[in-house]
Parts: sequence; structure tokens; C-alpha cells
Amino acid sequence: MKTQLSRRSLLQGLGLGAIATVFPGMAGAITNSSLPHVIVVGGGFAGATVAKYLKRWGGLGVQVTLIEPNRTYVSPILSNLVLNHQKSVANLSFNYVNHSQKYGINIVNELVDSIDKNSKEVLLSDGTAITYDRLVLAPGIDFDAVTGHDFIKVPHAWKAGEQTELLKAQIDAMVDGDDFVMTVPAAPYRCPPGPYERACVVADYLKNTKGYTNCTVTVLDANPSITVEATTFGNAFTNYGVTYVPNAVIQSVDSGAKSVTYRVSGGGDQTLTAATLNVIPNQKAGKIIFDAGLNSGNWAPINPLTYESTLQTGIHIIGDSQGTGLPKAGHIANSEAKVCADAVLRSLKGLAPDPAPKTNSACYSPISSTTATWLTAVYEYNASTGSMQLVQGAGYPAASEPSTANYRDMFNWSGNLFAETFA
Amino acid sequence: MKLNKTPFILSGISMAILLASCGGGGGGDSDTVSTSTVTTTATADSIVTGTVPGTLIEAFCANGIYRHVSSTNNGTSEHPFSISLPSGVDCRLVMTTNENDINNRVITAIQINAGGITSGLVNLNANFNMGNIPLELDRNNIIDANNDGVMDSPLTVSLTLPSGVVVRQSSYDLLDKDGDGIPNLYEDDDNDGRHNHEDEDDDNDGIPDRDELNNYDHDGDGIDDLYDRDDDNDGLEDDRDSDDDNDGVRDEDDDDHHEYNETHASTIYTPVADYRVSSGRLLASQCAQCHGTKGVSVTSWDSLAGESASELIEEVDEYKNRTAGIMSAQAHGYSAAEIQALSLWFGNQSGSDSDSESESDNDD
Repeated sequence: MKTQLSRRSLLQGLGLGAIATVFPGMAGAITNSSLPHVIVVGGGFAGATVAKYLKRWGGLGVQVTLIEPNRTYVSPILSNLVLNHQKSVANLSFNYVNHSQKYGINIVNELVDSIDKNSKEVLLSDGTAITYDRLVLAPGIDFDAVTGHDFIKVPHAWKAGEQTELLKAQIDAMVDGDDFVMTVPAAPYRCPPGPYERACVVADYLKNTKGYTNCTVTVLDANPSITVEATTFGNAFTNYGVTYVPNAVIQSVDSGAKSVTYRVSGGGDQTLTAATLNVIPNQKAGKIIFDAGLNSGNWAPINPLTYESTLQTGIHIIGDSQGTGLPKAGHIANSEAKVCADAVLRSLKGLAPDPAPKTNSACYSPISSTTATWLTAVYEYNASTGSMQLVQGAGYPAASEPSTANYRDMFNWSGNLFAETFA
Repeated sequence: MKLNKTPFILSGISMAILLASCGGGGGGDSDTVSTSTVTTTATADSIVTGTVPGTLIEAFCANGIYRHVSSTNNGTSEHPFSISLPSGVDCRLVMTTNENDINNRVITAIQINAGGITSGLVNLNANFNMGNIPLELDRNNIIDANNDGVMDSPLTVSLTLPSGVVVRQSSYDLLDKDGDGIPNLYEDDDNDGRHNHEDEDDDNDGIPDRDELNNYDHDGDGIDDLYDRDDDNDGLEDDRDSDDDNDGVRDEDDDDHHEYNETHASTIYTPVADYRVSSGRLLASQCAQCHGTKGVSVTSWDSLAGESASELIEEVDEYKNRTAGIMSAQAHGYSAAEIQALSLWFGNQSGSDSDSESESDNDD
């Protein structure tokens, strides 16, 4: 099981396996009464929530191991507020102490090297192999970067933490007259309103906080139009004087020169150079999904009643990597995780999954340092298509105008979502 | 190597005595389900007693807690001991005879066989008497390939467990990563004849363990310091220890000191053996993103916990009649039957933190 010398392997080498020798008839019984082991890979909003709920609902009857390479998780939610100095990365940092101490979850801070689907083992980068009865993968997103894109020089800041700090430092260094250029990836991508929110927050910061009147903010959108809350963000762009370019497909990045080359609707190459260049690459499921052969195209196909892979029994995929039409964001990842936890526990008991699960999404987006908007929807299972869809006739997705009341509520929302996931 | 004796296993000893059970605790409704249910006892300890030859008894627990006691010499061959373990937390026991004689001591990891399960992981929510444990005293009688005094396989004690004490067979245990029943600390990773517990350099690379780069487990018990209640296994929990990693630098001056795990937390257990199908619970959990786990809000938004089902139904219906606001938008997403199911679930919850079930919301 591990690279280190084990007493058991010594004994087995000598033909003296302890239990089998002493209780020859009992090996089967011991195996059958062993606790089901669920391994969760990834400790973001999806993975942290499913681990917590497997123990809240499964208790002593299930063993849960959460494997996450980072000892500290930085929430991408609210991280645009680091750019305008309303929050710090420390404010958005969480760890797994509650998971360990309150819920009795094994926390393993290691990187997963590979998954052996046949022997149901997760192999860690330190050589350890851990067996599972059910595996839940919540690896988030991976990037499809274009030629020349160096994430250090041209940060994406689409995973929070160091990347957020890098982008913040570039914005901090801007002087009046400098240009800020950012790109919006082709849908689907993590946090649909996020890029537009970022453009608004940065434009507001440069104009109203720093008092720069000659800076420009340009948004190159790979999509044909603003993907969500189009009226709200469109109005805000007009107010801030943001230049919005739809159908802008990124061709390459010169990271040293901080320039980006793009084409609009199949036209010729155009290049923009900026003091701060923020290229958010196109996205796909986490690497582990591809390595394990669990993808179809860029995402992992799953059954939305259980989040079990349609390609492999016993492996469930939740959060941004799953390939349903559900949006990719922290709130709904938490929502999916509870449907998954319920389904995993039921399956361990031989019970059918809930036939009509519901999930919901909600996202508050700051538009300035004092105002925010929201977007929300509820999803239902459609048995005839086998997919999740917006609840029919309910007018989803619903959105609001920016307001200062929404700005305050943004922290009421995020505070409970953070605690629901990490506390 | 000494291979002249097989490891001896106790069987037929069923001396478990049911002492005063901690039992109920708060909440209470999670123990209505079955006999295997273990209720939370929060921060309380449970006591393990028994008799042994003159022995050092150590316990390693999944939350990083380390405890040790010596048995009391009462003039007989059966010395009584009493060791206090954290309730509701998986722990492993190791017993050492002749503990003061490095050349003759015998270190024995303990497994319990009960109800068809054999495991070294014991989880207590009640006091527990193990009876007499006939530990080996003679080094010549044990199998110990590397001659470090640690018996190469655990001693299995067959017992009938009292209510509230369970033995857990686990396929992966941080305290025993290779699953052989010997805690990590009593392995001998570099096979140098010194078990890790006393080996200053477990991997024999010339760098003392405490100076290894990225050493996040100073006591080597398998629990990362971040999640370890006793980083240095000195028996003093970190929230009462002024030098958590025992490096001689007081915590307030120590760069690698962290305050995260210096608070006690309760444990919540409802066994999956009793997992119940309840559409109300899963639906109700979908309110938690905004209203907090189990409807207990930590922000100025409303808690749902503590409200009756009828109050909740009335409130959601009111939101359904409005057109503005995020809660109004949410209310339109749920049918009357769904709102009733989740409201009944919230209305049936007790003040405890566990997501326990009551009979009324059981639809299967």
C-alpha cells in the first residue's frame, strides 16, 4: 500500500499474515462488516460540502477521506473585491479543521497521481494507494490556454489566491492613462457573471477610487453577447465607459509585452496592448477527469439524480467539472454536493436515489465598491430528457438591478454559504 | 529474528462490564433509530479500564489527541489501569510491558474482536472495561523481525462491547496508514531497529525528522499538525500547551504556530446503517446555502431553525405572492408539496446540530 516498509508485508513475506492465520474462516466476515469508504478528491465548494454532508448524514457508518493538495482554500467568490481593496485574500481563506475535528473526516493534503478504476484505488503523489467504495471527484476547472499565455505575467485570477494577488499588484501599479484589457472565455466557464463583474469592479476602482479619468477598460468577449444579466452589465459598461467587444476569439498572447491578439467574427488579427492584461482562458474539467477517462468532450457526463459518471459506476463528479447544463459556480456546487451525498449514502444502503432532486443557484455580483446585483434560479429534474432544467414557468433566471441593499446582502449570502461549506 | 512462537490471540474473554453510560447528551433524537446509534457527547471523555501486567498504556486518536497512563501496582499480577479517551473519536491502544527496560520491553498494539469485526480502532461514547489483558512479558516469546520490541502483529482481544462502544474496521486510517494494525508511530520505516516513535530520523536520510522540509506532522502520528489537537504528543492538548510543537520556541514567538485547531468541537454522528430516505431533508438542505447549515444562519439573514412548519409554509407562500427579491424568486421554484416537505423537516428538528430524523418525515 505504501512505499515504506510495512510490518504486514514483512509478515506476509514470511507466510504469517496475522488475521488470516488465526481466524481462517473469518476473513470474509471482517471484510463485509468493514465501513464503506468514500474518498472525495478536491476541497472546493463542491468537495468540501459533499464530505461534510456524507458525515452529517452518514455519521459513524461511513468513513470519508478528503484529498486536497492545498492546506488553505481561497474562495473565488468575492475575490474580485480583493482587486478593489474591499477584501483581502486572508478574508477569503478557509481550511479543513472543521472537517477534521467536527465531522471526523480524514484530511489528506496530497495531490492525486492517478485513479485505478478496476482496483478502486486512488494513488497519491507520495506513493500511497487508498481504496474506496465510492469516489467523488470535485477537481474544479482546468484551463485551455492559448499560445504564449504565461499565467504569472498575465494572470487569469480565475482560481483565487496567488493569482488574485498577481492581478491586484498589476492594477495597483496602474497610473492615470493606463489601459486595462480583459477577456471573457467561451461558455461554459466557471461563474457566468464573474468576468463582467470584474470589469465593473476594476472600472469603478480606477475611475472612482483612484480618480483616474484617462484609463480605459476593454472587455474582449468570446461569446456573441453578455452571457448573463445582460441589461445590468450592459448599463454598467455604458456608465463606466467600458469598451465591450463581442465575438472576440483570442488567438495568442505575448505575455512579456502584455498584448493579446484576437479576431472578431472570423475577421483579421487585431492586437491590444495593456498595462494590465487579464486573460481568462477557455475552460474544461479538471485534469483528473481526463486522466481517468471520465470526460466526454470537455466535461464529465453524469446522471443528475446521483452525479454518478455515466462512463464508470462508483465514481461521482460534482461541481465545475460535471457536464450537465447546470452553471459552474460555488453556490450550485454546494447544492449539487448535497444531492450527491444523499445519493451515495442511499446507494451504500442499496436504496434508489431521490427521483426528483432540486438544485438552486444564486450569485451576488459587486458592480462597484458600494453596489451589487444578484442572479438566481432553481433547477428541476426532467425525467424524459434525463437532465436538469430551469423550473418551468417560474421566470428563471431572475436578476436584480444593482443596489446598496444588495451589496450588504452579498455578505449575508456569502457568509452563510462559506459556513455551510467549511464550518 | 525470532520466529519460534506464534502470536497469541485471546478468545472467549467477554468481560465487558457496562459501566455508567454517557448516553444521551443533548439532541437526543438521533438515538431513537437503533442500538448501533451513537449520540454525541461533545467534549466529554470516556474511560477505558482493565487490568494488565505492569504496563504503560498509550492511546492515539484520530483528532491527534495522545494519552498515556501507567497501570497501578496492586501487588498482584493484574494491575488495574484507567485511561480517559475523547468520546466519539476513533482511538488506537498500544500497551508496553517492561516499559522501563529498553532491551526487554514488549510493545503490543491492541485489536478488539467484537461482533465479527476485528479492528484496532475503538470509538467510545460510554465507559468500557476491557477485563484482563494478558500481555506478553517475555521478549523471547514475540515475533519481532527488526527487534525493536514491537510485536509485528497486534494482539487481538475478543470482547462483548457495551452499548455506546463500537469497533470500526476501516479501509484507510491516518493513524495506521498501511493498515497492518500497528500505529504509524510504532512502525520502523527505515528498518533500523528503532521504531518511529523513538527514531529521530524515521527515514534514515540524515536529516532529523523535525528538520525535514515540509514536515507538517511533528509528532509523526499521521495527523497533520493543522488538524492535530496535540501536535507534539506530549499529552497536553494544544489549547493548553504553550509550545505546541515542543521545539522550545513558545507558540507566540513560533513562526509555524497556528491557532486554528485550538478550540474544542463537538462530533455529530448518525450511522449510515440507519440512513433514512427523506425527501424533506434533501430539499431542506437546499435552503442552507443562504440560511445556514440546518437553517442556522451565521449572518443577519433569517434562521429557519426554530420556526414551526406552519410558520415556514406561510412565509414562503407570502414570498410566492411577491415579484421582487431573491427569496421571492426562489419561492417560485418549489411546489406546494415540496415546501410542505422541507418545512416539516425544519419544524421537526431539535436544537442539536445533527441532522437527525424523526418518524414523521420518513417516507420510505
